[in-house]
Amino acid sequence: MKNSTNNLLKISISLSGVILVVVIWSLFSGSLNPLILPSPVEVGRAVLELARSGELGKNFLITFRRTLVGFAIAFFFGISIALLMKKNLFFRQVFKPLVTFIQTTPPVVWLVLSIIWFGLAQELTPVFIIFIVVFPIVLINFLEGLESFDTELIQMAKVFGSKRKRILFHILLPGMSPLIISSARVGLAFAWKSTVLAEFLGSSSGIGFMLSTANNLLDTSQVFAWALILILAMLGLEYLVIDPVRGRVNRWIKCAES
Amino acid sequence: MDKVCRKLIELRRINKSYGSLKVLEDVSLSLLEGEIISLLGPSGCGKTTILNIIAGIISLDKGRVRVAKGKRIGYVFQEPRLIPWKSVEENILFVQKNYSLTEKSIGEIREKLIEEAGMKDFVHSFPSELSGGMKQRVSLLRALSIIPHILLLDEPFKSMDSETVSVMEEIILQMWEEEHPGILMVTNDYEKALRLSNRVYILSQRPSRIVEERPIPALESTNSFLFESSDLNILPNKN
Repeated sequence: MKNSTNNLLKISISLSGVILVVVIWSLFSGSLNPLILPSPVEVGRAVLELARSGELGKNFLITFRRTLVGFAIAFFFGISIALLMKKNLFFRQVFKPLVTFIQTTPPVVWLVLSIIWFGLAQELTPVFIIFIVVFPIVLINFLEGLESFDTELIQMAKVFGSKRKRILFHILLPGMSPLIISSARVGLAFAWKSTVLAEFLGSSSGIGFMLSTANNLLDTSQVFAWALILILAMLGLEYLVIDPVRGRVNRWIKCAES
Repeated sequence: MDKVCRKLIELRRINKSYGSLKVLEDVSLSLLEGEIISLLGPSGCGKTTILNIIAGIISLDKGRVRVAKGKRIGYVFQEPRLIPWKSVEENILFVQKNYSLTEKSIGEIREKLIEEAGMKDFVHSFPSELSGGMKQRVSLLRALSIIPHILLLDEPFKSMDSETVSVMEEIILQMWEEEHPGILMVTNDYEKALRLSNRVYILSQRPSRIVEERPIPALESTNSFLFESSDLNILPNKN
């Protein structure tokens, strides 16, 4: 009971922040040219128009699909290579400078290069950029977790005759799952942003491309509409997908931290 | 137990250093089937290292280790090393499942041990919900639950209250009477070592050597042995 009142309180505080922003926004928009700052009502109308015409659904799905594909590839390679690096000194030496190199090069350089290499391709440029951005994040996060993992538990399991597979599924993965979830969360947020950026500059479809088109047509309310959609989509991903998964994993490994 | 005197463990002049720190020097010892031996010595002298070498957790620099093939080894570590996301029962089951004990017998063994240790109300508890002493109990039950041929005990009674110690001692001795495992115990508790063991090895300070190997006479004379054995009292300072 107390919990639900608390939650209600939290939600209303967060909501009041949003309402405040909308109020200030409408006050300002009243005195400014709609080309510079459209009113919340105009933006709402633009969102509805995009939804009605089917542009919203179509481009949202395109961007969403690219994000997931790029993220999945980056996540898979990030975790696999982290495991290899932990296990084998040779791989460690090979990948360490490579990862630093990828990470320290600004994404915009990769973006320009990928446009040169792949052209304004439908998929390749955004997926490549997501990979470049997300892969080192996942890898480094996961590797750090592996380094600090409780080797005593693994020793215990080995002494008691556990096979590799059992150690992996009963000890290593459950023990690492909070970290896997948190790297997925950070990685996914970066992936979403990178997709839009890549589409904005180097693609011919998706939300980023639509944003760029609206900008070129000086349709500011549509620019705002797409921005709103992007924010809502990220929030949806966070609260509807990542949070429940994390809650479930936390319950599963219960008290691992305590 | 057909052949009571088979060697389970044999260490021959083993040496181990950690970097420039020499821990073990020419340590030799053996454990026979059905025997209980204790390793006594000042703390930090490398007793745990000896157990870890036997368990295959760490390698040695020089010498030879022989552990009889196909034997189940139960190890009670100095810290409980329980899996935090598994309950008491699941922690025990996790190691039991590694061995080809029948499903029925593993259940019976587990229940019997949990009952005897007075842990019945805690089977579904998680390690974080248990006190230090209780965790240590679970760690011991886990090692016993596989009916080990070789039982390695590293300060098994350290964080237990005296009542728990006597319960756990009884459980170990009962298992020993029924199954005759070889038991190798590391301890600082000389009185207990003398009371429980057939044989004690006394280690010097680092780099540790075995300074003495003593068979312990029959149980009733252990106390007098303790008092006449003057070298045991000065042991922590002996080099």
